[in-house]
Amino acid sequence: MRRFLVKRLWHAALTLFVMITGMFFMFRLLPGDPTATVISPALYPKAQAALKAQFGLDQPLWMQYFIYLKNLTVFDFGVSFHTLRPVAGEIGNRMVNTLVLILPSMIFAYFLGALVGAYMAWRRGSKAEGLLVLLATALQSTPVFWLGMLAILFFSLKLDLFPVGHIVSPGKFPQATWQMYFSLDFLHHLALPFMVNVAYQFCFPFLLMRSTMLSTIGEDYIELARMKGVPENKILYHHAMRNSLLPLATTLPMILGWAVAGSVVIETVFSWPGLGLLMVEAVGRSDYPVVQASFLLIAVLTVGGTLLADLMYGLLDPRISYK
Amino acid sequence: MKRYVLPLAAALLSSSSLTAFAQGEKVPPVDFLTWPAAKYQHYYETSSYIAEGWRELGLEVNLNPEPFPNPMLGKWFSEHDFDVVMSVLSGAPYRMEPDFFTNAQFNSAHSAPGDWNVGEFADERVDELGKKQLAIYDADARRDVVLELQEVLYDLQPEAVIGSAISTTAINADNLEIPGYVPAPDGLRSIWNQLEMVSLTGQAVKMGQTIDQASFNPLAANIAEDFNNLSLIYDRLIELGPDGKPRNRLASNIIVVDETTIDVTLREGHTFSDGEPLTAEDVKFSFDYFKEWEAAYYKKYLERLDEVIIQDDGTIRFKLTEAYAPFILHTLGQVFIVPEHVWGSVIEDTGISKPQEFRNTNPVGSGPYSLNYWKEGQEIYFTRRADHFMKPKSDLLFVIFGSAEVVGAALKKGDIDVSLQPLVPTVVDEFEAQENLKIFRTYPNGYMSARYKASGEIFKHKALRQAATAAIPYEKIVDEVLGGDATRSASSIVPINAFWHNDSLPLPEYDIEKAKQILVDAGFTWDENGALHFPE
Repeated sequence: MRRFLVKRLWHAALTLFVMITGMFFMFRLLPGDPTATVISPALYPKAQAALKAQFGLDQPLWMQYFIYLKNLTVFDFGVSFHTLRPVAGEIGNRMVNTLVLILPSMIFAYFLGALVGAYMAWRRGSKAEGLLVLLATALQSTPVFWLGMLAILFFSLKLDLFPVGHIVSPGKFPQATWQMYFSLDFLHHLALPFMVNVAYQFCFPFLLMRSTMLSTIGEDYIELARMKGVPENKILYHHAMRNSLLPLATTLPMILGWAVAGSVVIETVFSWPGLGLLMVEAVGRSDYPVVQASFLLIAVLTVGGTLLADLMYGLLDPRISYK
Repeated sequence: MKRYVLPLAAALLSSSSLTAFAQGEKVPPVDFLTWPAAKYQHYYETSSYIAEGWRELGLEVNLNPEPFPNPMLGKWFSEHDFDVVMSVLSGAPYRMEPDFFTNAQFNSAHSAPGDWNVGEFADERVDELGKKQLAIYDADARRDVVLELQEVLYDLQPEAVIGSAISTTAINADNLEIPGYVPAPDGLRSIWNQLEMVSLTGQAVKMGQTIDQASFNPLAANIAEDFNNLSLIYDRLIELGPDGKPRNRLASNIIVVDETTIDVTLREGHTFSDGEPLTAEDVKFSFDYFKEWEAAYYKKYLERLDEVIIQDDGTIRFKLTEAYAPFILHTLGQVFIVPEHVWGSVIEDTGISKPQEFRNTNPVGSGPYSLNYWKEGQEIYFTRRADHFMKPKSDLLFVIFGSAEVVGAALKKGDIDVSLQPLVPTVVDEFEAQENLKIFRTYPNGYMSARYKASGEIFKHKALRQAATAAIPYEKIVDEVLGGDATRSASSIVPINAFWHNDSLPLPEYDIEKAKQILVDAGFTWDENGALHFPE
């Protein structure tokens, strides 16, 4: 077990290192002068030079890279070119907003997807199952920005049920930020992006659960339970579903990083001031430190999630052992 | 788009008077630096229509769209790597100063990388007139020179001016009135219009936009939106009027003592938002401070300032290193007056290494509004200071959205009162039909042009520049590319800048015959394939 853990950690670290290096050079090796996007060439030449020196952009590229690596080891992500503030604080503020939207909707979508998926596998061949599978496949292949825009058009503009975006109504900010997350106004704003995200995230666990269940249902112990006269509901939820949960439970941490990355689209559509919207803004103004740190965060979540999933397998399934 | 085949070669060969010229080198292909089609469709299409017109002259034109901002800006401003560039210059208020779009862009002294004469245009007459107007402080006398300068530029054609796209915004008239609206080039973003906004709901006026404030530090600010909001919090001595003329703000009087000495009398009894009086010391401090710490944006505007001297309690003397008329608008009209009792000790108080690093999230200013709160990426709330001399009518709330489309949707739904973001063209008709929405069209002072590389092999020929200017299908560009929502101009100082614009210059027209005649007269010829050749 320990050898396995060390090996996996080493792999994870290597993956992250490649990501970090790749990202650093990718943004900087675009054709032309990489500083041109940060510092307006229309600025006075002396002012440009002063700004370049301030951001360390006057150093050679390899030097910038080593400074970046050195700073990363102490979790110093640098200063935003745009706001001149430490990147960590910049991202931290926005990350909370992203998590309150993404985490509950992800968990809800997984919960719902698992239940409905299991039930539909049980009722294989019914009209409802056919319809739901069709719907889920369609939803999964729908671009989420389009889904979001349709939701705004229909639920906010036509039916006037929800606001078109944002986290609270204009001018309704409570004094302390934490109070905001407990206000009705916040929930009202959360509802639409939450539902769109659930609709989008629902498909994967639903389809996965359904297909795992289908193979579980064919197992002998299900047959045996039936022969013993165990009620159908109990067979479904206690015997079949419990044994089909494994792939679902292990994909959940893996998908977390992916979901945060996916917040880019949903947050832009709903003007949700989270990490995703920050990334879009930062890419637009070539704010390298913010962009790199956000991508790094997503990479850490994905790599960490995968690692967690690997370890969870052993804990959840005694048949698997680490040698 | 239709391709025109040149019937020209035959026509020329049959004309004995023209074959008198020996044929020079073939004009090499024109490298036309332009904007990427996907994101800047209008700009790209405009350049493509221009190229189409020029092909009729026998020029080979290669459109070279480069990603914006990088590397396009680099090729445009630093490397001057083009034969023609599709120049689109936005209209910031300080660009109403007539020097900016004339002398600053076309004086041969400004051709270095990073400076504004990107076409490396050089002409003695332009340099001379450009220099002359810089030394005249009297607006009327200066205007005569500026008009003449525009005439000379019109003849020499360092660029073909196309015009400016009109931007359309809207307000919700159920919640908001703007009784004193003035047609400023920056429309609803203009401080003169924001001061006049009267909320009918008793709440703050809610304005939607897509860009958040980067900084409330006047020394660190760099983008237009930052300066707009800073001017709500901080006063300047002078404020650009909506008509292009400077108006007194903190200054109550300005006397030009001689070419390099300007005396400014300060408005009496004004205070900062923390109750401290605003004094001549604060004014001197601000100018010295911005200069000493080399605030990047202001560096250019402060380089001719030699010394600031306090004459008496209410009068400040500015000594310049040379005569420079734009000093009034560019320097007195841009430097924010900051309180010495805050900024004088900011480095010791906060432990930063220079004032640019100060976040200033609780700014103390003397302006018509004070910052109530700033929720980053979400909202900025300004409370009006009712006793301020600019008489703000309502509190202002800026709401930041993810895209212009959502700003439009929020306005339509009544969540906000104003869209500061130009409306997406497809919704303008729909908004016009909705009764409670009032549409505002603004004519910006920026403009689009095809800027020639006048130092280059191709466009160093004046005749070729003039001919190229006459071969642009202006009407088609306005109607088909810009959907009719554009105004044309003959000069780089566009008509909205009424005081300085030379309206005696006729608009260039698309006239291919005239264009060819200009080339013929200058000795250009065409070969049997219709390709243009230089004069021998």
